[in-house]
Amino acid sequence: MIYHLVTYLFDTVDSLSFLRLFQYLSFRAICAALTGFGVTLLFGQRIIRLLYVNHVRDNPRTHGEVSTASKAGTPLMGGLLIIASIFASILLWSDLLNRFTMVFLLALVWFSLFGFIDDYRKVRYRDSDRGLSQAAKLFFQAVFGFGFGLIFLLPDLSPVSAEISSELYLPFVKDPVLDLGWWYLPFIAFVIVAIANAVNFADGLDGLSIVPVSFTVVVYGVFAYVIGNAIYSGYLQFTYLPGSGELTVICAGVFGACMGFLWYNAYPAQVFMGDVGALPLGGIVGTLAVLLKQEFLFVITGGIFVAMAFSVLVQEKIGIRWLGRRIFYMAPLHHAFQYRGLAETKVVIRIWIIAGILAIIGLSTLKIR
Amino acid sequence: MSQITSHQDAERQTSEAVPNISSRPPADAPVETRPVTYVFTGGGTGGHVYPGLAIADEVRSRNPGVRIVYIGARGRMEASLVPKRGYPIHLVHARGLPSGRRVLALLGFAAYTGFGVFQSLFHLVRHRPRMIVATGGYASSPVLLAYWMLRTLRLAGACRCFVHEQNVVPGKVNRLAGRIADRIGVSFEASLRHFPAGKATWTGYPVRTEIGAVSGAEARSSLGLPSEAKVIFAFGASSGARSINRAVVDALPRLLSRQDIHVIHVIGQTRSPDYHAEADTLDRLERLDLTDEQRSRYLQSEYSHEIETLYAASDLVITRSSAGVITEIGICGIPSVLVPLPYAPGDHQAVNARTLESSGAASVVYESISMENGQTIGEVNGVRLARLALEILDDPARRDAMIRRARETFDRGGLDRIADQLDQISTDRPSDRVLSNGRPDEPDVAGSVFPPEHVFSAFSLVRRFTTDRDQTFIDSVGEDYLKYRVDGYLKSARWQIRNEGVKLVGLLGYRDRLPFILALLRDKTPAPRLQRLFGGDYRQVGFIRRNAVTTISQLGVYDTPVRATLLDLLSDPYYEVRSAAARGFAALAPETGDRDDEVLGGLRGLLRESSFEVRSAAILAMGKTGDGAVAEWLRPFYQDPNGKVRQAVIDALNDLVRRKMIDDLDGLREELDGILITSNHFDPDFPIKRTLNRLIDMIRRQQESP
Repeated sequence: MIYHLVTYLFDTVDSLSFLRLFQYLSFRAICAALTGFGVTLLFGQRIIRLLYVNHVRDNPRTHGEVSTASKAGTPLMGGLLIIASIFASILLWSDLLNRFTMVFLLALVWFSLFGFIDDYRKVRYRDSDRGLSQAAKLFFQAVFGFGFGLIFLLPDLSPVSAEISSELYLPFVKDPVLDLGWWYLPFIAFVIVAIANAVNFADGLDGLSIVPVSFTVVVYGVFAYVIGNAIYSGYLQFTYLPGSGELTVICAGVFGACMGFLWYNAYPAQVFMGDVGALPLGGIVGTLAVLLKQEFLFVITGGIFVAMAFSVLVQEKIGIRWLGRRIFYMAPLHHAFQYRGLAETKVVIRIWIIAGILAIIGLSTLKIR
Repeated sequence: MSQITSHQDAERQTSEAVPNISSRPPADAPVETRPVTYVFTGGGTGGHVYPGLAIADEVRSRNPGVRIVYIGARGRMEASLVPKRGYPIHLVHARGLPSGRRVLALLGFAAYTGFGVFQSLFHLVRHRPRMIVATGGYASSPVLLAYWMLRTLRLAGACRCFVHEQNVVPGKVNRLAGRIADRIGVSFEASLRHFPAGKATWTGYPVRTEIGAVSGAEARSSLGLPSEAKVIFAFGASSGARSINRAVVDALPRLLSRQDIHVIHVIGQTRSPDYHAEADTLDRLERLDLTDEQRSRYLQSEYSHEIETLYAASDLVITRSSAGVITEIGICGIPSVLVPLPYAPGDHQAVNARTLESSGAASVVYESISMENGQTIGEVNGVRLARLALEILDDPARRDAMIRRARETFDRGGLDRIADQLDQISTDRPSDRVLSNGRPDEPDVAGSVFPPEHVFSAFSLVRRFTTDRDQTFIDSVGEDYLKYRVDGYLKSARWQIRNEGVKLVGLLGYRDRLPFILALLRDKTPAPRLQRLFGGDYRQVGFIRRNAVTTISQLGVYDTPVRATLLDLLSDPYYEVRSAAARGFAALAPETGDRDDEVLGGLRGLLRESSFEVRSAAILAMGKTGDGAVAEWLRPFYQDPNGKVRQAVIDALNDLVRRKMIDDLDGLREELDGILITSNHFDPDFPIKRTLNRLIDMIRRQQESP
């Protein structure tokens, strides 16, 4: 809103030309980050109290030997806080008419809605197994994946030009490797579903998923800045995507909101994000990856999430369902570490460290191509 | 009551009003140029064929002009039974739904059944039947599907479909048929709730008219039995039953020692490689050492075509609990001891038997499992069977009550009611609904929490017993039945179910199943190749073996076979089993006993493992079972990288000191300084929650003692 207001002002009033500052991505990105962080801090306590009073609380679920019972009763649905501050920073600082922004908002709304339904059911029935079924979640994710894919591939709607919308890019490789044509549609759906689920699996310990998510978002923000800038993208030999720079502002807003949430979610947590947080975060990271045509970058930057999703799939589908034995001590991986005798804080911080290193490796693909 | 009637009338009027609005002709009544044809289908097993044939006979006797055609499955019972009765039969492809989720088998099933549907379509179009009567079993599925296709395409014309369900719990095909058929007749009211409301009605079982027509005196004289004798008639189902045959022979010495008892035993014609009914029975009979006089009161035959005579002559029947047999017995008013065929589809025989038991018309004896030549077989305790039979025969009040209840539960009007239903729906519109459950006097269903037809899933039982042994539940269901269910799980082809069975043996404390659990653990049949490629090992998968060890610990028996099995499991390929075996020793091995070098050696071998879980379990077990020398072996683990292992070492030393196994306490005290105690692990503690709990506790105590 501020963006549109200011643009209008300096177009009409000459004396206000110093407001040109607000047109710069870097300035708006910083403002967005501060807004995201500020909104969470400002409303955090109040929302947490509101959730607690209304019995929006976590119910204990036992994971074998590792007891989470001591944290039972922590308010759930802290994700609302994240979503609200992301919205606030986007509304204030983004170009709302930009197609990248619109698609991003669509993802945010969609995943927030069914994340909310999921959590609402859990709270309503006082049973953490009564949320949406795995199949229902997959269905909603896939619906968005295909819908988004259609938008992306139809030239009239796509934020990306038609020549490159179905090209496949790989990290460390300059040129597109393959033009998938309409096969890009199922590929997009797969990317969305895979990333959304992977992020969801990682949400298990205090602060565990929020920090790797913010690292990933920062990496994508930097990529957006480069790809959306004709000069930088030319210099680093990326395909220039006009308008995608706007995603930098959004990524900064998400980063700010994540940091604000971590303020309350750090061990011992005052609030859990719940699916209403984990699903939208996963959904928007997936959307960012597709919008910037950097799907495979997630395998590096979001390596933590990939490893967790992989461990869950192998353990559940191959081990427990089919072979009748465990393959890892426990899954997702962070529970395996806990089982080996690592305290929760230790597991979380070590995973942050790994996520940080992976983010740096991801950034290095800017130059190493 | 009058209110209900008027309500029903109102509904009927509205439904009759419909055709007038749509101005459709009242009924399809084409000029009949060809004979009216009824198509009968159903089969796969005799239990589904006989009722169909009985209904066909009744239809034929009511309308001699009706042409009857049977469509059955290729190569099954009906292929021989139906032509014998003089009805033409067409054979189509049909097979049962494969168990489990094997994709290939499912595809094969779909293709096979699909072909059967085509064949049935051909037959239906050719015969243009007026009525399809299906009596269940997978043989009827292609015909029903073909009918459903024709009806959906509006090609079925005036054809109607009637389905009869014989058992309390409908089979898979009849559940599906419930949606397709125009009318469903059931044998037990309890099954009405499995079908769409308004379509199903109680008709009873179509019992052949010959049953019960012979008088007792007549029958006995024709069989040469004295009129005052007490006659026990035992037979398996049409194919015979190993468990019943063996149990009856085992029961003979007790039964025949009473001068007034005669036993009629129909053993059936089973001649499979693992059971030859005649040879096996004779062999066992010879070992019994009966006197000639006793032998004279034992009548044996392979097969009886005049079962109605045998019924009429007997005072007690020992048999399977298929719907047909129990209805025939019930009509004749004979008390019975029922041995359900274990784990028939939906476990319907057990449900049938339990339904009768709960109404007081029968007693039930369940098969238990045992191992014979590496195969799991069912077994009935003959002594117990004899005792139960004599109890019933010697207690006239109980016998009379059973006879009364049996007569009340069953009547011979089944055939009539079914034929009435057929007449009704062949003239009515299919939209006509059934407005009552068909039974004139609707008896109260006993207000038990779990009706006898409730079949418990293995998973729900495990959940129920995980916290404690819920005795009131066990009593309400019956210990025998529960044990029988558990046996069924242990026998299941799906490892997931076997696994739950193994858990239940431990949770319920069934010590007599210990040999079976040990046999499971000794079973080293490899898993399928593909599973082994991904890390599978044996058919009895890792979880089963691990849980079996836990079960053994829960049973608390530590004898030579248990010790040998646990020792063997210390070298199992799956790490959880190895650690479970170590825990088993910790739980079972006597603490004060002599040093068991073999066990300690086995445990010591585990210390070299890479898995911290196995190492910890072995160390803990050493603390429980070892002596002072063990402390020596633990020393290398004082600085183990894994904190849990170090904790196990300290626990083990604790146990050793408590058991006064360590002589040099001073030395040990000094050594303790060498144990690395910085740890990655700690338990969080929320003082605020502790304080709150204290407050809640205090409030509760004050409430309790005002």
